[in-house]
Amino acid sequence: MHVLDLVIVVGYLLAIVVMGVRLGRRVHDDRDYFLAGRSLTWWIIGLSIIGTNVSAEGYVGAAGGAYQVGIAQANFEWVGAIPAMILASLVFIPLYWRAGVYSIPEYLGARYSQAVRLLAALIASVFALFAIGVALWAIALTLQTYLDWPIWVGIVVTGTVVGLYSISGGLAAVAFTDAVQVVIMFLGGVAIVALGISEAGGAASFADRLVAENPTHLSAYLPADHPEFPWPGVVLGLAIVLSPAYWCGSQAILQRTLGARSQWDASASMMFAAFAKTLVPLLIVFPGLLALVMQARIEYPDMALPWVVRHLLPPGLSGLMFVALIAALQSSIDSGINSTALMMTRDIRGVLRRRADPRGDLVLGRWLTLVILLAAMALAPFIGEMGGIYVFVQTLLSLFQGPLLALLVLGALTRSATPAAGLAALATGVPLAGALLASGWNMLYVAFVTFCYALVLIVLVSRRTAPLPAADLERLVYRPWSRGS
Amino acid sequence: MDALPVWPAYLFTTLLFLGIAVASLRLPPARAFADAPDRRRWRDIRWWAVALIVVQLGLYGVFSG
Repeated sequence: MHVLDLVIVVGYLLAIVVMGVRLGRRVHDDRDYFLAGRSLTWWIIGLSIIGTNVSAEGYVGAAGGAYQVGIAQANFEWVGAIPAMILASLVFIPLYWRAGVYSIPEYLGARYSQAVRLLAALIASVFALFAIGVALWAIALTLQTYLDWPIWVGIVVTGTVVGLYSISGGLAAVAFTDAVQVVIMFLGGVAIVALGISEAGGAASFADRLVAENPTHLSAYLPADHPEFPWPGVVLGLAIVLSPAYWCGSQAILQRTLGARSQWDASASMMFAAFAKTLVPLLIVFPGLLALVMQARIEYPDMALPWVVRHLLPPGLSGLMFVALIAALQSSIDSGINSTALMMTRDIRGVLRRRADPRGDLVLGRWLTLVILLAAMALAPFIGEMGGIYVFVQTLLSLFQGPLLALLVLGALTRSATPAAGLAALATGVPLAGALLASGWNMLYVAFVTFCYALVLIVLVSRRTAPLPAADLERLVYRPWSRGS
Repeated sequence: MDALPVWPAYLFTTLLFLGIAVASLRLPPARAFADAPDRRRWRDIRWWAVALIVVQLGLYGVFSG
């Protein structure tokens, strides 16, 4: 590694740790730790949302996906994100804000029952543990490709740095470091785009060379018989189910909006994030295409981005891009451990103990952050055995996103969904998704089918069971287009 | 389903985005400005949504080959 790159990398790591530790001095109770004292402004939250979202699977995995399938990979950033982000901004964020909750499971607990809250928190925590493990593995893979570090060294170094600022500073540290990380990420991405197009002899030449050997790589939708991303699956599974469930129900994403200083800041932050999201394919899909045009010799697609960084960028810029990569991956880890610690502290332990303890929750939250990080570090080395990391994470999501979205939609927009119906849909929908995946179904179709199943089940069971009292539903149901809501 | 042509995907995408644009513009102003420190025009998040959708329709138009 060039000495200039090394200075940039070490300087970045030190700055991030110092910023996190300094912000930690402002943390006095669980509200400060988990919601940043409800003080965050819209553009910080918006950048943090993108930092959380563009993570292991987003950066390294999406470049690998683009290497395989082309611009169709960008559907995860466009039709598979923007409609749901607008929905979250206009409907679900105001709803959660009015309900005054810390977490999505807490909302589900208030809207349905504490059993639903407990189950949703358990499922989300297990998923988060795997997702953090994926992020650690991806960062270790990048370090191995770029610096020849052994996988376990990359995992330990990353875990230590992230742990230092996340455990001390909580959500405020996570959000501010995410914002810095996203700015660095965009700077590095723009450098790759400019140099890559220049290397290929201009945009027209780049496109010609790409489609000469890969004719569908500039088509947003792939044929209906495509094995991984058939367009009906993308439309029905991704745009209709997986994406809204993620953007309207992911604790790691929405937690920072609950830490906003006002409802308007919370809603505007998601819109701002959607603008940034529109540009994300330039940063994460383009390198995969560039690796194809430059005829990269790589063992597997997930190595496309590290290869481009190593072979295209000069000293200084490669250090910046390397920092951008680390930053993107770190931001998913810090958000994951903070949100999982919140769910385990308040939605699992809190429900089981049935009493609030803000000071005790702060201490426990910090310890749990450490425990979750260590568990994910132990899990990370085995992630590499599980195939492409993007597909792996999306497959995990498809296990519970369908039933979760049905609970959120019917819970938020109707008064008729009952506690018993919510529990039945969640408790049976997840095993159904597991069975369908085990029998070889495409994950996108699994998400759609289990969403429909959960919708129908909630409607049927709600007809025969008792709803919540009308007074309890006042702040838990929100129909922004209805003047009476 | 495997034999379906690709064009319905682009049609669906266009209709989805247009539907969201219409829904966004029909949102009462009080909801768009809820809790905002003032009512300056740039704070109207309904128009943020419309701008986003225009960009998306352009992108799917470019990559519809």
